[in-house]
Amino acid sequence: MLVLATATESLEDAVRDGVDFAIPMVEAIGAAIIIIGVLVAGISYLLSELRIRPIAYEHVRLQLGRFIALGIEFQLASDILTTAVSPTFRDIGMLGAIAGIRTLLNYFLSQEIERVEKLEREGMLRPIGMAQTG
Amino acid sequence: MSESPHLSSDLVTAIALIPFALAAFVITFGAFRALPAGRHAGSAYAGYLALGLEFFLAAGLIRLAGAQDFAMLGLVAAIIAARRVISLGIRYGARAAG
Repeated sequence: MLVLATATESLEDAVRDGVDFAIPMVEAIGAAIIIIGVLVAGISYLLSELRIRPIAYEHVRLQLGRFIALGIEFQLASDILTTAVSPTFRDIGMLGAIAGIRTLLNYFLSQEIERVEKLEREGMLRPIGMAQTG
Repeated sequence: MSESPHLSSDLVTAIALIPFALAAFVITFGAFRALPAGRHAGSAYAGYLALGLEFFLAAGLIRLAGAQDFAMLGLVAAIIAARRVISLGIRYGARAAG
């Protein structure tokens, strides 16, 4: 019985160590996806402002929104992993709030992505430089 | 969350400066670009503001990966609420303009 308890404890420690290692990795992947999206959208915006490749600001938002939505999925995964090793109710409460906010954001983002894609299909979007001329 | 492993707070704060700087640039530059639009300046600026907020949101989410506290959480929630309101404003503005 003692051997079984010791084996379970060491297995639990191993799983906990594995999860502790995985959390920052998954979080880093999420952050990296968001930062790549920022760079892609930033370059698109600058190219449009410089009239090199004019696109609508909604299109830039859509580009960034897609990356943010994907990055949030990874961050949610990291939240779920953190919940598995969180020891206190305060931590779990905080995680619930973070996960709730990210889920809400994901919902809004997917709604906006659908709307902008529809506008894009209908050809209703104007390039950034032309948007403010009325 | 102190006992949970997360990304280095200094690292994510440094990385988050990129979207933060882009957001500040878009919002400031957008003000100068929107002003000549006269009575359409409001709707023209709303587009820049929405894009800037999107970059702010990216900065907030990146920082949230490193520093998970209630202040950061409140900031991200406020950005999400603001971008939602602006988004709705743009949509209704466009609808009113025909």
